[in-house]
Amino acid sequence: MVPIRTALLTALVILGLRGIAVGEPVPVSPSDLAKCEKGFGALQQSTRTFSADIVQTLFLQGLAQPIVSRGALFYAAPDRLLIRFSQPAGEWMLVHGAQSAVKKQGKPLELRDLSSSNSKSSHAANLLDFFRSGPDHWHRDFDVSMTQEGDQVLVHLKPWMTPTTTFQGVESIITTLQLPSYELVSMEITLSGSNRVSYEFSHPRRNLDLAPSLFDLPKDAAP
Amino acid sequence: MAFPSSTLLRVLPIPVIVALGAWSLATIRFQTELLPLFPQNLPSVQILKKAQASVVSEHEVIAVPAPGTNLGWATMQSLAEHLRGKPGMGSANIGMGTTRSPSVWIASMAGELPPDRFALFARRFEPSAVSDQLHATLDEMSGAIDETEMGRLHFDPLQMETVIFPDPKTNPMSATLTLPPVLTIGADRPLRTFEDDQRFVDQVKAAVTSAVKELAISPAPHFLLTGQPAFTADISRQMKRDLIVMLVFTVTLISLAFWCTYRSLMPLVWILVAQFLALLCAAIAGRLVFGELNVMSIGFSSILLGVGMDYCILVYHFFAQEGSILSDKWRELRRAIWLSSATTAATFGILYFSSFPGLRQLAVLVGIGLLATAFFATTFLAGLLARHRPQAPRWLVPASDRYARFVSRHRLAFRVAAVVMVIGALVLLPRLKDYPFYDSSINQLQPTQIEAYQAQMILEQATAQLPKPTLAPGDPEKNRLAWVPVDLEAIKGEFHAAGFDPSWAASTLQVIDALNRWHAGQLDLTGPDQANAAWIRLRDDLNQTAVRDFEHLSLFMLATVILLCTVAHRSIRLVALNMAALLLALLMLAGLLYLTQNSMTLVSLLCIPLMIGLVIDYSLHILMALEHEHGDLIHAFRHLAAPVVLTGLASIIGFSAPMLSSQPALQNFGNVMDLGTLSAVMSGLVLLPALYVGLKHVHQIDESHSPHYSEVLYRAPMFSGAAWLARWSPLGLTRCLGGCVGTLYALTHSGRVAEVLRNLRLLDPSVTPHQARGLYQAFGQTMADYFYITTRSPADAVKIIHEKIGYHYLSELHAQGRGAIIVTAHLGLFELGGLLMGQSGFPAAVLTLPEPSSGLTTWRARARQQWGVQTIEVGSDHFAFLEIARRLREGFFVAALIDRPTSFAPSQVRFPHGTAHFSAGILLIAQQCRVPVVPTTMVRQPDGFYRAEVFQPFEIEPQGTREETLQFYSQKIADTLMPTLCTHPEQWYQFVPLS
Repeated sequence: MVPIRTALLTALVILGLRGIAVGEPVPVSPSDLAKCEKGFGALQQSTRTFSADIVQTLFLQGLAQPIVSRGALFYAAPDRLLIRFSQPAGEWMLVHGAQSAVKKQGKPLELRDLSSSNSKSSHAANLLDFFRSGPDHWHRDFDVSMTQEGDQVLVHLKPWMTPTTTFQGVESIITTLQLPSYELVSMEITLSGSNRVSYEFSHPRRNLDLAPSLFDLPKDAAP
Repeated sequence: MAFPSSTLLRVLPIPVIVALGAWSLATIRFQTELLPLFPQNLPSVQILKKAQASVVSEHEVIAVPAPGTNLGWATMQSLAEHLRGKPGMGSANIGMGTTRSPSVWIASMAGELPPDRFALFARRFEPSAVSDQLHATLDEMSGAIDETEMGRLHFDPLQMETVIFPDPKTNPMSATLTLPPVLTIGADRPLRTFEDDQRFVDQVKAAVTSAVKELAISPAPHFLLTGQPAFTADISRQMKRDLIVMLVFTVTLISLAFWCTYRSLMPLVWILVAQFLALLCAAIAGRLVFGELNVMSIGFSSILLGVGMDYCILVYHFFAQEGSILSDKWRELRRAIWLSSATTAATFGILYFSSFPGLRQLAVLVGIGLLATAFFATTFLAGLLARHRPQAPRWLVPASDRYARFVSRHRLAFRVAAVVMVIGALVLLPRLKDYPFYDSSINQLQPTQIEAYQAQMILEQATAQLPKPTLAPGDPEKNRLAWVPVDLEAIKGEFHAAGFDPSWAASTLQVIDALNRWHAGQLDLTGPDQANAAWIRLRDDLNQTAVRDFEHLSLFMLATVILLCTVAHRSIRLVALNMAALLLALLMLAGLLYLTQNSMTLVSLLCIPLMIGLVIDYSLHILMALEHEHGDLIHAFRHLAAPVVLTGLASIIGFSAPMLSSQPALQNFGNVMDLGTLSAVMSGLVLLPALYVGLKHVHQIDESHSPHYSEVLYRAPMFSGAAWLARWSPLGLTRCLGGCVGTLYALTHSGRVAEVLRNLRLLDPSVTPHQARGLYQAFGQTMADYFYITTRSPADAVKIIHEKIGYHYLSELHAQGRGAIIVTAHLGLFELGGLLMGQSGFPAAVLTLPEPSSGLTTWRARARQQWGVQTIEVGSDHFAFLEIARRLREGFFVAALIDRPTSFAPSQVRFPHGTAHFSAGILLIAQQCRVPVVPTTMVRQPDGFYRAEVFQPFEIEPQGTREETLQFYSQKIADTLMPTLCTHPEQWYQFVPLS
């Protein structure tokens, strides 16, 4: 007959090993958090350009199925971002300095001046903000915590302030980074309630030469 | 005597009225809507009513972020989610920043489409079209994320607006989505009463606060609520508050005015009870006839209190007069009260035939209230006052007499003023014609103070910047008939099948439901432009109706007034005077409106019948009194002047109360009515008596009956107040204040100064009026000294004397144990002599004539008593001479003023430039008691201290007949005092004519 204490201990060990084996999130210690921030920060600092294939998944409250789109994301420091969709084709979102533009199929180009204080921030501008900021910015505006799942670390950002004073409509951001390179794997932005949008990055490429004209507004675009 | 002495008659109605009144106030509704106040048959009113019913939900409020609050769509979405499920919340959604229900608005836009486009619109709701469109919407949401577009699609997944506005540039819907978002919150049960509305609004406020806290939004945003329930809740709350504030304000100030004038507490309580009973009668009438109270009528209580106070004060004043009450006078007053209340009630009653339902209510309330006030004043109040006769303050009659003399003396000037007023109005008519005495704008009727209105303004300012939708002209009626009702359940099913939950279908279903009801004739979809146009047209419609009413009704009013005045007077002359007073009052009102740059509005047009009532009220009473007194204005005013002034004041207070209201219309009404009341009082009390032919001249005034002192200042309470001030202030300050009061008195009493001037010119004919006025200044300073010495210890007070000359005469007499008569004039501070004698240990007494009130005699006697000086009052009581003789035998020094002519033993003395009369009776006493006479003076020196001078005593020895002896020694005294008089004429406080 196995002593009860030994049986319990064994069960606990087994469960713990199982937990580790299946990659359930484990909180990252403060020292590892700092190390991770430093590593990612250094990667961001050294990034002149970034491009990746993306899968955008939009979860809207009240819709049974998410809305999936595919495309590519291009970033050029310090203030240019382009997401060009292949599915649906012909749509894109662009931030170039203080100008933001959204092109939807069959709709006129939607331009926005981000320097105006009355102007709402666009979704693309929010993404740009993430790419050009680093961990210092995180702590300024967010409550930062990290968990580890296997060889990936998840950075949980929750705004200090309510969504009224941070960029519009963000309740939280979960960014997944691949260890040990700290490369972007995915980003999930919770807007409000159960509305959220996620981006999965594949084939990430840093510091490639990107043609400046890639981020130019169409010549016939009127402000 | 025809008093309602029957207790039963007086008391029986009261409990019934109280019970019915309490029931009425508890069950009366507040009508908070504006449109029911207007003539219902006006086309613009009918359009607006339909528009209101169709686009404004009775069960929803809109929460608008306060200016400066910047909340995004997502935050508002979160708030909406947190609000659902809270107590009272039936639904909570983000709205598009307008007051109109967006779904009904879309339905109304669709209803006005051209038929072909409307058919296209209708096909959108076929099942296959719904499914296709929903899938297309899903495709549209993929790809680039445009938050604005997503919000629009969430609201309109079937994209109905693309059919209504094919050109996106003319589509205001997209623009509305750029507006700051608002929350549209619906109740979870029907809101039937205004208590329901209030409860719901309170629940919404609590729910929003709780949701903000749960979401930890910082800083916590502030929301303003608008929508029909919010308007109802705010307005009804404000109405209740206004009613209470106006009542409290009016009752407090009127009571204060009554108390300050009459100093009677119980009669004031009875008057307030009588007025309260009248208010209850009006409330009962309102409840039984109308069942509700509208925003115009909430001011009725203050109006009633102000105007009705008139009758109560007349009754009070009647019973407060001295002497017994004459039945015929009472009957006459009662008749006058009833006639004037009937006149005023009738002028209001005519408003019942106005086209404005709002005015009808006020007419009934005020009319019934006034008649009830007259009833209770002449029964309940009269009975009580007859049993417990009040006493009017003594100063009232002299003040009234003085005023009557003033009017009589200047009657020519007032007549000229009246004529100039009329001619001036005619001459200035071309210029005044352009002045907007009547402001036809109805903006003042808007409840600008309340939160719901302010929130609505925020929304309307935002939506004013939106592009105006331009639609090709359509045929709404044809569309309505062409519409095929859509099965809402089928649409729900299509949404579900496409993967959309009910929140995505809500707006679409509301649009379809509105169209279905419209088709069934249950909803009238008036387009917003029609409502806007109707609102603009409303102004002209209302003004045309008001002017037409005014023209028709004013003729009736005038006829009623003339009829009642004829019944009262039975004299064309007097009726003509009534009309003249009315005309002058109206001209004065016009002048005051022009000077104060005010205008009457739709509501304050009411002041015309009110003014007519007031003017006729005052003029009826005054003319009837003048007729009764055969033109004797003094006697007529004794019973009327104070009541009319006080009732005018009460009316002004009563009409000032609406200025505390939150309703701009009532504020203007109160303002205009105050000006009107002032005009009525001026016309009734000033101009009308001057116009009365047959007014007796009162130029020949018996000056001896006129007191030589100030009836306002020469009173015990004033002495107490001055003493208190002197106690806590340095002497320099009180002398300065006293001097100022004296100077002010001199400037406002030129007649008195003239008398003093005549006296001073007995000393020096070159004395100027300026110097005579200077005497009053010196007197004020001397009074300050008097209050100084009465409020300090005798040992300290006597230090104000720095010089004593001849004082050894008194010491010698005292050492001999002999009494003496100390004579002085009204020179300097003679009372200080009493203090000096008291401090010196000399037994002393002062002779004094009776003061105007026993209170004052007592006050002055107490002051002397603290110095050890006794007071002997010498009046008609001959035993006073025995008292004087006893004191003299006991060795007292008895002081008396000699330079005041009396009827007993007056003696003519020579002055440097004329003659005067002294009271020589005291010299007779000195002769009989064989005591010496000692002339003294106590005058203030330039250094501010006093110089006491005692002259050589002399015995009274016969110098011929008694008169010759008195004349001889009177002259001796005059000659002794003359140098001091001539050196200090400014301190000779002789206010009674001597020559």
